Amino acid sequence: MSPRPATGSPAAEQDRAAGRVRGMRDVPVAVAVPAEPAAAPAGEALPQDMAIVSRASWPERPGDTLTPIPAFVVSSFSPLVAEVADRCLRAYHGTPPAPPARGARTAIVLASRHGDVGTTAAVAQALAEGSRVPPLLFFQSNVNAVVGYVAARWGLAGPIVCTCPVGDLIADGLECAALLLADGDASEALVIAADHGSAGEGDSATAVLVATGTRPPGRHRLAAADEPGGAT
Amino acid sequence: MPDGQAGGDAAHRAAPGRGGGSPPRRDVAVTGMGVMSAFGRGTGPLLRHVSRGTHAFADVTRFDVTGCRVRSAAHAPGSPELAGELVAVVEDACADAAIGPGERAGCPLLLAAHAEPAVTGAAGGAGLAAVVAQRCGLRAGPRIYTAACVAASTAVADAAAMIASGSLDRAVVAAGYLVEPGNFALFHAGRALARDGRIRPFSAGRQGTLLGDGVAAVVLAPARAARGRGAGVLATVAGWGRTGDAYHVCQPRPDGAGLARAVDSALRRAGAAPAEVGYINANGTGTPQSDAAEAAGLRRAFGDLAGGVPVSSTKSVHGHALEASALVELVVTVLAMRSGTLPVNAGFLGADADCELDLVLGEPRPAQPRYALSVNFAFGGANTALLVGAG
Repeated sequence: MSPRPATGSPAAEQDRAAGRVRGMRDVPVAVAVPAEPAAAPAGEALPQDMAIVSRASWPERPGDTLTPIPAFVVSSFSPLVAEVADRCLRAYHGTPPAPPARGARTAIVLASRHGDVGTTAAVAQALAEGSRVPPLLFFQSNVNAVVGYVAARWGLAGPIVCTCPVGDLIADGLECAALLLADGDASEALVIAADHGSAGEGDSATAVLVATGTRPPGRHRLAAADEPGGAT
Repeated sequence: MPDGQAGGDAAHRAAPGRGGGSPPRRDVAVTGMGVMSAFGRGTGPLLRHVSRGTHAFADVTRFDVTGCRVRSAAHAPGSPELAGELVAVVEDACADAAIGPGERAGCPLLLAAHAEPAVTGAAGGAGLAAVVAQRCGLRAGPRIYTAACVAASTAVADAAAMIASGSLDRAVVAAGYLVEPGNFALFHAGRALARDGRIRPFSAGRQGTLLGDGVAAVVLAPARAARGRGAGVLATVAGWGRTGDAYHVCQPRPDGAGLARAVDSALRRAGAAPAEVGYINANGTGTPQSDAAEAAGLRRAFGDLAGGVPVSSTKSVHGHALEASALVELVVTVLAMRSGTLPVNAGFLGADADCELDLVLGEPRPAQPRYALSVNFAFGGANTALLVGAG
């Protein structure tokens, strides 16, 4: 193992902009999607005082794509999380950031099966080949990183919880959110369930925004999210 | 501290943001602990070394680091297996708490660990949790916690919240990280490792962090119930707070505002005043900008009192155990409170104007704090604060 420092060369910058790491297996950020969007996972009934106020999924249609995130490379995991979070929040708040008073008390819960398998595989490959581990992988090596990206973009300053549930991803994420809301450090929670494979194929994700009590006035409640468990 | 089941003290302990109709909350006790570190298994060796400030950093021998600029970490001899070490510390914690096999079946194991199979074994983190729970006779938890350096403190906060609200009567929280090639290579590639082979929290000339073995477990239960069954209460988890910075992918907010809010939340939840905090086990990774941000956050939280609260980061002795770091440091904090000796902030070379704190330097400091804080923060701007009460 002989890691070397980042060069900062023009080639490296081009690679960064293109979302790839030179010398590593190039994995496209916009990945192939299944012919039909993944079915919403089964969920659990929400607590009585918690409501789903927005919902989004990826992919939404055949050919759906992910928007690359600057400096996130190799793996589709982080773009997947950011994309579905953005869709969910845009449907409710419009353009970022969220209203400050709301964002200050909005938590983020990220549930995934095995975390960012794509990044882990890239590190393992570099180690197996005796090549250097690309420096950018350090900064995306934990799933917290993309949560930080979403939080900074939308001004969400509540607790951050990342998990790997044993059972249904969204149902467990909602359970974590319910605990956070009941415990009082947050009034709303963005729950993201990211199902991710190392090669990006078959990726899918769901995001729901939940809130305590009755929904704030003046907001349209999505029909699909009205039913308890309907977003799950 | 009296048990919060009494209605009289419930109001000032109601969770922030909850109205007066919140149910009474129960005080949460730490009734058992187990730990493994570079110093071996057991709380005794760890306490001895953090008290004296004698570190465990040396050249890595567990795997090949030829060609690396930095070769240091704090790891135990050989290549211990994570599942086996987790089982050992959970057994130690359960024995400490006098939990027999019959009482374990309904007790969930909340595990904080790396998610990826490359670190935790072929079955991944959830599989690791299932194996450890089965071998210890516990109920496997519904998830593992993976939020980097706040993974374990998040698990503690979840368990404490459920116990306080009455929805759970006992939990075992465990966490584990053993130094391995993947994260060593990542931290090396990110130039996050200290070139001089030491973690020097809050010190002038600090160069970065170093990885360390850390595997820990605690048993949490309602304090009143623990006392009722004659089990020892080692300490209480009196308060907890969690916030996000909403600032950056991997850098903390320079003004420490998010961390300060987490501290505020933990104090408010406990009904404790800043002046009652007599020790802070800091995150203190030895990273230049992170330590400065943490110092700013602590000054923000404690205001004029900040200069009088003893602070140390014991990562300077046992290294950074990533997902397990917050639990190892919670155990250290409880040990320090019970021993009446505050651990040394080791590796200190000189004062940094950006890190003006009352650091415990040179010698361990005698103290009997009523409360101590264990604070942690992580990539993504995640902050946690655990307020520990004397048992």
